[in-house]
Amino acid sequence: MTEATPLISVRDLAASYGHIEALRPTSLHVAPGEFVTILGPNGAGKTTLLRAITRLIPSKGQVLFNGQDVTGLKTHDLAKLGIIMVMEGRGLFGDMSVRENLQLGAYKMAGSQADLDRRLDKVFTLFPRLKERIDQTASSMSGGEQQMLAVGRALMAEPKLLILDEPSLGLAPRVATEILSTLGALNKEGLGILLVEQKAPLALKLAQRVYILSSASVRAELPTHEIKSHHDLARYYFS
Amino acid sequence: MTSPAITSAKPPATKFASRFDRFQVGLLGLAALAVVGTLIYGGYLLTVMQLAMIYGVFCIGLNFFMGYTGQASFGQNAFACIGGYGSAILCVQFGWEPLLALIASMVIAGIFALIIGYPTLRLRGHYLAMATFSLGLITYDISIQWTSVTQGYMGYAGIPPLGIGSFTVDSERWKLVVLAVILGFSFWLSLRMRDSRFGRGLRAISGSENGAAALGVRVPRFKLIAFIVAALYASAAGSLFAHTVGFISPEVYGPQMAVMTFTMLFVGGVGTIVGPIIGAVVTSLLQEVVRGSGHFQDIAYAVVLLATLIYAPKGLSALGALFRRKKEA
Repeated sequence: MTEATPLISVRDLAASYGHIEALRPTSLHVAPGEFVTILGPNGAGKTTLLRAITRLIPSKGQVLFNGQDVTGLKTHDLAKLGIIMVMEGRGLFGDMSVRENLQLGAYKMAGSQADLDRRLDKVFTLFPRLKERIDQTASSMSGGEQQMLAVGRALMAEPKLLILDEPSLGLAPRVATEILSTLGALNKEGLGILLVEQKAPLALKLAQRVYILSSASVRAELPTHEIKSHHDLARYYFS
Repeated sequence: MTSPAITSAKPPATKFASRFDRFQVGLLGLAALAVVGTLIYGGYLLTVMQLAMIYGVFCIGLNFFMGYTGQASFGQNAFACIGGYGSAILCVQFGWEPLLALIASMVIAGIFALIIGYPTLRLRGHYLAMATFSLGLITYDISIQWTSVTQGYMGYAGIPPLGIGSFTVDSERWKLVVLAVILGFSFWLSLRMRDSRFGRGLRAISGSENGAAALGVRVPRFKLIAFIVAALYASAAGSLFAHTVGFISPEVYGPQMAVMTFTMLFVGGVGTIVGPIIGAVVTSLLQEVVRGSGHFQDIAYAVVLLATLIYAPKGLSALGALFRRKKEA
């Protein structure tokens, strides 16, 4: 899988907040149609890594997307290329309706009304609850519904690479499982996914490969089937 | 996916209710009633309501930048100043038609907004607020000092009323009718823009700049366009003031205007659809009501405003939602 041109290839990406080095030079890649997860303890630099990849924060290093150097591009240009991120805390626009949030998801790709409707139908097939709440404001929905909306909004762009930052945060285990299972189904249809997740067992069930981040750098990269137990993970976390 | 664990209790709202609630429609109805009542009653109230309509236009523009886009600006009076003086100079010195002068002034204000906004909008939060406040102060100072163009404190008199060709709006009642129609048109236009793809982009920026950018919204460009839209509205309001009152001087467009319109927007409800109109009408009428308290009028005015901000922090037009929440709790 890794021999083909990677969907995204990150080379020596580093980021700082003032004098604090939040991410040491880090490299990773995701192949087309691959599900990769990034695990690590709090403060390991996982969110910083995703923000650096999507240019939400300034960084050093190189990012290639489908073999093309996209290092100098801005966040909105990356979205146009098909790199869409579901941010930690969902990043929904609370005062806007479900419909408006979803329409914003297809912002860069807006074609005809028929195209928009087709994208909406696709999202509603995955998350029927969103159709029922279409004119309700995002802030008035439950946590699970909000997370569905966040994922649904990202899917409206028909991304090539979906980046998610802890989508299960604050959700009941059953809801988290349902949402992550949907991601697994999308991956089976060919969507490339890069997932940061605290709930390791769930993430490891879905992903094909895992990067373990600790103290602002990658400690290990391995296929998920090589991780047999929590003890394996702990060893990498604290090594 | 439809299990109770992930289901919120609230029933889906209708599309209409997601834009206006009945309370807001009621407030708009009251504002319209106030205009009709003033047309019947006449007298000094006509001037008060005329100014309320003009400030309403200003506040609709300000709401675009501060409400929908979530950016701070204390300097929109600068563009009203350009509009007012543009209209005055073009009409009085060069004999232009008022309507043509109003449009030309808007174009000039828009170009200024583009030139000033491009570097200024790189700032955020308090820094942006201070920079825009300075813009208002600088324009105010120029309108005083550049006497060869603005006539300084003397101001401009004899500015013709609005009109097209031989038809001019001379009567005070007709002036109010025309201003109310212009306000209605401005409101409709802002509503169309708000509900457009562009408007959704602006509101996304207000929610989260990073979140908007991650979805492909060009944040700096959209902020600049919102700034220009607000400047166009402010310029139109400045011109309307000049053509309605017939006289302008630097004080009209000074820092006092920035404070007053800011107050109007917050009293009405910043970021709400009907807030700018409600705020402009209520605040204008409130000034006249507290005038009766003599020496204490400033204190009375401040107390009413403080009470509004404490008990209705999202403004009068959001009171309906506030009552509903309390009822549900």
